[in-house]
Amino acid sequence: MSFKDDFNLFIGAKYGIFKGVKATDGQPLISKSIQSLKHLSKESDLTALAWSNGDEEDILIGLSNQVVKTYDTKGKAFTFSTDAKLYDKSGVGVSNGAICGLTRFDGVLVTAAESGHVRVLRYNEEDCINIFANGPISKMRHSISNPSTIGTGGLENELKLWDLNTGKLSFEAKNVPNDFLQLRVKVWVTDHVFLPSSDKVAVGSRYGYVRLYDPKAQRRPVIKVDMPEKAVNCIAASSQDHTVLCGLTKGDIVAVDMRMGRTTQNYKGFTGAVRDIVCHPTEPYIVSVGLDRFLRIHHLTTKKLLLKEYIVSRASCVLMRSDFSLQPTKSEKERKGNKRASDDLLSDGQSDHEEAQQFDDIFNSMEVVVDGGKTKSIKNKKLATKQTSCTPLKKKKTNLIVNPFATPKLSQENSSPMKSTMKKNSVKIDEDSDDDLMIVSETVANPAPAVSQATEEEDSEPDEAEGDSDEFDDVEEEESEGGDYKDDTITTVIKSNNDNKNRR
Amino acid sequence: MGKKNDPEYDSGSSSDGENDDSTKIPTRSAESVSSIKNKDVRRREYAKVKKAKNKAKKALRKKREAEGAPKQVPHTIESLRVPDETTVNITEEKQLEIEKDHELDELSTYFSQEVEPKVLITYCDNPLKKTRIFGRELTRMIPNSISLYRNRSGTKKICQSAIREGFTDVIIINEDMKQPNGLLLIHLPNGPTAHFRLSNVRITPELKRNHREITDHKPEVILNNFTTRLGLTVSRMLASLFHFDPQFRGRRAVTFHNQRDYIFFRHHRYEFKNGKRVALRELGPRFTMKLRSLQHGTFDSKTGEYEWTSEGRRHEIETSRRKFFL
Repeated sequence: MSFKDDFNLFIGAKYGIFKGVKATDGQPLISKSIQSLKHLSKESDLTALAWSNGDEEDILIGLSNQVVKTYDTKGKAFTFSTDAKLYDKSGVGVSNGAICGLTRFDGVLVTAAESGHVRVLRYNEEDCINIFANGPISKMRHSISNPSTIGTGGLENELKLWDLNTGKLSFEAKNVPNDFLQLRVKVWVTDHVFLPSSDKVAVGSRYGYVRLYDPKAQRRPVIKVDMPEKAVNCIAASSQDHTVLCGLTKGDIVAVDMRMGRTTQNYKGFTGAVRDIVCHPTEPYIVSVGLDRFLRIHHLTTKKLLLKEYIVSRASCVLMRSDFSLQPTKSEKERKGNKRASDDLLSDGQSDHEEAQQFDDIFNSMEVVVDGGKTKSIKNKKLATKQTSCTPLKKKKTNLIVNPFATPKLSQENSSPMKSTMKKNSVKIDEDSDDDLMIVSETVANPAPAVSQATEEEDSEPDEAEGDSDEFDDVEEEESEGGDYKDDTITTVIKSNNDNKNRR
Repeated sequence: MGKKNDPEYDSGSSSDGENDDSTKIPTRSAESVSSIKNKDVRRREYAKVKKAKNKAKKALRKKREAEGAPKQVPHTIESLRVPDETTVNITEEKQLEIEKDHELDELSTYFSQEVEPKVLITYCDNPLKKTRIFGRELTRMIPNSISLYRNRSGTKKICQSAIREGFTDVIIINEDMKQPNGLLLIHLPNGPTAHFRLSNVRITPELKRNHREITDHKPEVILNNFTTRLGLTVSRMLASLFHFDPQFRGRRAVTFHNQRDYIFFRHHRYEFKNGKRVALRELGPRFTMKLRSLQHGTFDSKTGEYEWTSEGRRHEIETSRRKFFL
């Protein structure tokens, strides 16, 4: 599992720059260039990224010089590189331009070049299927529901669906009727997406329209949405059904509801063209990169900008792990939890006996986790109960999608007056440890915890998981109160403590 | 007892009608002056107050100077600029990536001195006198450039033919109400395209100069104060208009000075008087530019991709008066 904790986003940019990004809420974003900066070149823009298979271990990387590389995220190395260029052998011409689509079908690599050539690269040259899409392609995409189907489309090249088993055309879209002046409507399929729940395909165009095709019903679009003056650069399916997200060339992401036939949401904060969007299948995150050299994460429903990070280069594509979350992953949480609990133990030595009694049986029912052969000591049991009280705080930090710009600020405010924590420690509050203290003690660097304490914290982890559902309702209220916590005086601490008590 | 001109107090802070010891001028406070009903008297009294105040301020400054205290840095909206995350020179790794980007980007052929700049200057349809003269002066100022009338040609067509003819840049000057008001700078063959708003254009006759003063030596280019990533790209675009080998013999210098996102253009001839002093003579023209958009690739306003544009989102991105993008 460790390799999955490493980076949760991968970004491809101009000149072959390939970056791994670890985005977590409330923590500085970790971004690292995986491709060595020494080996960049003008011809090798990174133009396509795709997972090699379902387990999200290998990444397929397509470059503008038609080289396909494989990056092993587990071994952290480029494992494989092949030239996908098609030379005139099968009578479909020579492929030119950048790779604009990459996928794996049946264990074999499928590539698409901008000149309109799609290749199914098999080991034997004779077994390769070469498809010419009858014109330039802007993007090739692989269907989710029907794995043998791919779609292509480009400038004056309508949406076409191909069967990869035979290499035959299975569906070709037809242009809409002429306009009221009896003029042909111009076609530019810049990007298309297979809707996850059905066979339908949504198409976006630089000429300012989004159309929904149903290959089973008719060749003309079933739904047309015109967005004049909005050139769609990329399109992605969102986790909400019937809604697609369109990235525009002037910046901004527009959510288009395909049932209502109009735009519903407008995600802001961009200054340049959006090149690629990924929407998390279940969580409400929209990750986008673009020419303005920023990585942005928006909240799907609230439209809030959750994260904005400068990534130096002009990015062209982004790839997300399916378990992506801004909240820290389980193992990180454990690590964090350990630290917090140990800080807690140090920060207030006295425990509230009644409170402790309540949780004693819970702990007794749990199995003892032994860390590095060190055994748990019963003496510290009472102290260990401390951390149970800290669980609401953890909820607060983890379950809520908080603006990451706000969260560190809060912790900074809390962390800055170090002496205030000292004061609190000295004035022994007979309530059990409170949330504020937790924040403070987390951020203040503490000496290494004692060995016996470390074992204790392991115990508390499962409890935290159990408490999830009932604590969740309180989260928002607590969050709103969070603003009052700024000055770390004892009075506010006690007050908030009481609040928490009352709610319980 | 708060003395009005106490060194500890800022000027203009509270005062309560006390006479100042140091200035020895009997003055009233501003509040008591304002209660005088007679307008003439009030004005006279107020002038006195003001004078005393200024005098005290000056004395204070002198005193500070005599003490050798460091000069105070004034708080301007520039010195209090909101930090931009794209500012160059932040970390080593980012710096390396930027350098690599510069080595490879569309303008790199100029900076590696592979391609000599060749500039085409043209106008909107039917340019009037001032715009025409302005274009001609630009031609005189930028080495290896020609100015042509547009003949109703489209911008995309112009770009195509310019690429064919081996031009590296196209400048298109727009005018409105007889004044040049827009400048489109297209780097060829692969972009980028910058669109500037042009203002305060002064052509040489307006500066009481003669365009013949502009020699055909290759000038030196000074780019001032471009700090962000966007600013760097824009400054590189502007630099790539002029030849990379300046002829110092001509003593001609063109300056693009960025201040609060406005790019001020000046054109001078310098002369070393002696070891210390340098004389400057402005040659003109003179104008101010402001970036409106930067496009990836050559000009394509409808379907082209923008690297940066403020169009339609001024309220959104201009969050503070102290926020600058270049």
